[in-house]
Amino acid sequence: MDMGGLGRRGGEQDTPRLLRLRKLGERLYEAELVTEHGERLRLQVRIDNDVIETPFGRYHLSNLDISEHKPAQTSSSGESWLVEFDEHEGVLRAKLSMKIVETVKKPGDKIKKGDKIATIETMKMLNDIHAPCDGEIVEITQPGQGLSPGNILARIKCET
Amino acid sequence: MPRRVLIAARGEIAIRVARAARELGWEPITIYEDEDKLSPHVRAGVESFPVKSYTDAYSIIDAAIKADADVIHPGYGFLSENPDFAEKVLDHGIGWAGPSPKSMKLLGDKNAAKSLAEKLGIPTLSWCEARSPEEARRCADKIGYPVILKASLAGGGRGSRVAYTPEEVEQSFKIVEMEAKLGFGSPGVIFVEKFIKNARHIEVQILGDGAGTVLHLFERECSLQRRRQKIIEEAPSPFVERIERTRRLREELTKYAVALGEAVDYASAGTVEFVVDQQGKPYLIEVNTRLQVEHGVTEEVTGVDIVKQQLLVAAGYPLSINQHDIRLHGWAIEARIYAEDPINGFRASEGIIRRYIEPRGPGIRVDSAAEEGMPINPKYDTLVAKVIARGFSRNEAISKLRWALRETLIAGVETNLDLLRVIVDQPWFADAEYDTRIVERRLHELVYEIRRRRGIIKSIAAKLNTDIVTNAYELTNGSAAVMNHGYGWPWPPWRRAGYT
Repeated sequence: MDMGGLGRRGGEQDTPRLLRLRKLGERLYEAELVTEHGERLRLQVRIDNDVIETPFGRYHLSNLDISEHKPAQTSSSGESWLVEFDEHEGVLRAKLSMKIVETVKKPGDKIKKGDKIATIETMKMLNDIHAPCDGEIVEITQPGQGLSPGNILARIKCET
Repeated sequence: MPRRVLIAARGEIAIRVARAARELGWEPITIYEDEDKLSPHVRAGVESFPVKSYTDAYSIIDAAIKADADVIHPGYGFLSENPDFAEKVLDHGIGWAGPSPKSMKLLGDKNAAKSLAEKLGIPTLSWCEARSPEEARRCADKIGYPVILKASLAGGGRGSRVAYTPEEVEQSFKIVEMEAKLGFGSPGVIFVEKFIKNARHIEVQILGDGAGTVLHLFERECSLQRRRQKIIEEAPSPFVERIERTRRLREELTKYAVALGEAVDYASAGTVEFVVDQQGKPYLIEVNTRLQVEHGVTEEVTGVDIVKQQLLVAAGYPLSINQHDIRLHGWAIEARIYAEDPINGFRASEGIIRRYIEPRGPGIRVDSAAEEGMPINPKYDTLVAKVIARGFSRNEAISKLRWALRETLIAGVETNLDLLRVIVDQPWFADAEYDTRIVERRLHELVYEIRRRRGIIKSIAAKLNTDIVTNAYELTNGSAAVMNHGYGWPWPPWRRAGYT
């Protein structure tokens, strides 16, 4: 497994680029692709209505459309399913419904990337949220408050 | 005379039990909650009765009386480990496909089970109870680090934390207490227990007749877990096999399990769970006084139908097998397909199964209640299917499982199928170099590989979608030609072109 680039961009993965698609037979195709690391791949697929058969197994076309939450830059990709950080606006937003259980930083506090800033509860599990960058907390939601997807958990001023 | 078995469960396990009953010439009866009345398990019974809920003892017993049931089989989950329910069932003169309420109580109570084990010379992990962070810290100092903190009511991966330092113990105590409150409504008691690093989870299947005979059906290894819930299990244990040359671990584990069963005159099926450290030293963790989800791998390698034995014992018959009839034949591995999204923290997914294709072929067994059009209700267990592959050797079982998972298709609801496919392709899986935390530790690279594969397929599909799919639909009408080509297409060639 090629692990190059993992973690470098917070787990972000580019979709491989399709170079060539050749029809070999009825519904049988050969594709040539190049990955983000410049690796060239050649593989055959067969399309069977809404099912695509590949060397990795069967996929349904809808399996591929399922919203793959585009990994935003977060402090630790371990929590990228919980929050996303918008670098330009400097806001950390909830991706799921959650409740703030505890905050360990307050506005004005200096933070280092990876510092724990809060504990949140979602799906009856507790998770820690960490600072996405070095900088300062501008605003942070109070413990006990609930957040809906898209709500702001904290505003952070990153040092550039 | 045909006996009637009321199955107090839903989903795949209710169907599994119904099959066993029919094979014995008995009649299975199922139950359903109102919102579950269209589920496939309802149709698995010769009759089906509505109940207030799957955990309402009175309405279930009511249904059993109306159905004139001789035996109640509780499956797993719901009331299967509830001694009060078992007691009520027996009080109504109905057979109980499980151990006696007395042994359920004894073995289900961590405290009592551990003291019994210690009396029998079975090693356990040192532990104590804590009611405050300070008490937890004192306790951990006594036991030695690392420790694991667990809520007594914990389950499903919630309410347990590992701590390596006194400070972490105090912090973890607060977290575990809060999680237990959130998840179970009460903090209950919190246990501090010695934590074994890189532990293997190995368990022994036992069967008892309630009159002193206890048999073992060898061991299973369930070390592949996510959030402390099993996702891949195998029988026998590759770790036991490997270490067998230097340490007779199998003999030790089965001896302990049988001793524990004999001490309580165990009836029916049960599982004695151990953690085993890297040196091969086992410690008893708990006894599950019910049928387990992963019982199928043991059935595949021993040839014993565990559910049938449970039904026979519950109806007052003796076990139909002896210890010397039970041997290991080959290897079996099970992968559990759950409606959950490994890319997004294993969040349970909802939806309707739009397309469902099961794998086929020699050595492949699928235990499932899934069918197209079936909604996945997150109120219930999100297990969609258990795919079990049996081979002559472990390698053969792995390659059967690998291809079976590739043949499987589930659409309409996000599942962990891609994660399972990636895991069985890993070299560490082939080498059985794993422990109970490996999926969490390596989740990053596993998810990376899932995305890599999807990315490749996606970019091809995006192009094909516009060009061909419309065309392919036109070809479905009666076109069943087998394609003949010489391109070395890797997919099984017996598949038909076009889907009818």
